[in-house]
Amino acid sequence: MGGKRATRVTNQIRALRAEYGDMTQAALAREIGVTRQTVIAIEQGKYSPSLEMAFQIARVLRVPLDDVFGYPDGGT
Amino acid sequence: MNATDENTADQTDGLADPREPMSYGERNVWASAIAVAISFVFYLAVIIPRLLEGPIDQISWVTPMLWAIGISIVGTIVLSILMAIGSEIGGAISSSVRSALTGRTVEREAPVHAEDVRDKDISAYGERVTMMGMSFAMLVALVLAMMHANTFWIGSAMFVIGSVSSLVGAGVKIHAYRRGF
Repeated sequence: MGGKRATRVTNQIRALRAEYGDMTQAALAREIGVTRQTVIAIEQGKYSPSLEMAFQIARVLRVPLDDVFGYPDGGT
Repeated sequence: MNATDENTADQTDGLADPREPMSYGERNVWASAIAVAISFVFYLAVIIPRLLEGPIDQISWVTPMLWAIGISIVGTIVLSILMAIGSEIGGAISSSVRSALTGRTVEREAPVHAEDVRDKDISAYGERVTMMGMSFAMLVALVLAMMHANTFWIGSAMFVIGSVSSLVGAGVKIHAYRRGF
């Protein structure tokens, strides 16, 4: 772990928050039971959420998991 | 849109508070690192002159080490409290300034005084590094004991390697908070 970006997992959380009635980072954090700093870290690709948290985020944003998170081709 | 673009946009479109306060876990890591560094410097500052002045078996090292350990423990608690108070004051000032600048009431962000899952993950990651150093300290102490070294060297080696391990572990945690984990 560590490095420039800690994870190759990409996400569209910020864009989806905007679509979901301008939901703030703090509001999303409250919904999934973490701090806003953790939401910021996830959005910036500095922290990979657990699979369970990923499902929670997708559920709060009311979209399928694939719409929130992506993984680029060419990796294993 | 990549992560950098998203972050830049987040600062301008009103979706997020641009202020990114330090998390509870990161504040405590800084408090602990500063306290350990102060206690480490204190011990060396007291012991090194004594080491240069007289024979090793006459060095009084137990009392300074107990003081250093005390400084480390009490310092971590005091600094954690002071940093929490500073965070509260910073949050209040930030929301007041933003209210004044935007002309609308900016709700103050609720302060966080508990670890979340990321804090726990980063803590465990850093503690692994610290524990490797502590294991090495025990190994060095065992070897010194087997060689019938003076207790000053055994105690000091454990203290110095333990302190350095704590500082390296804290550095790993802060890197994880700042650069990613």
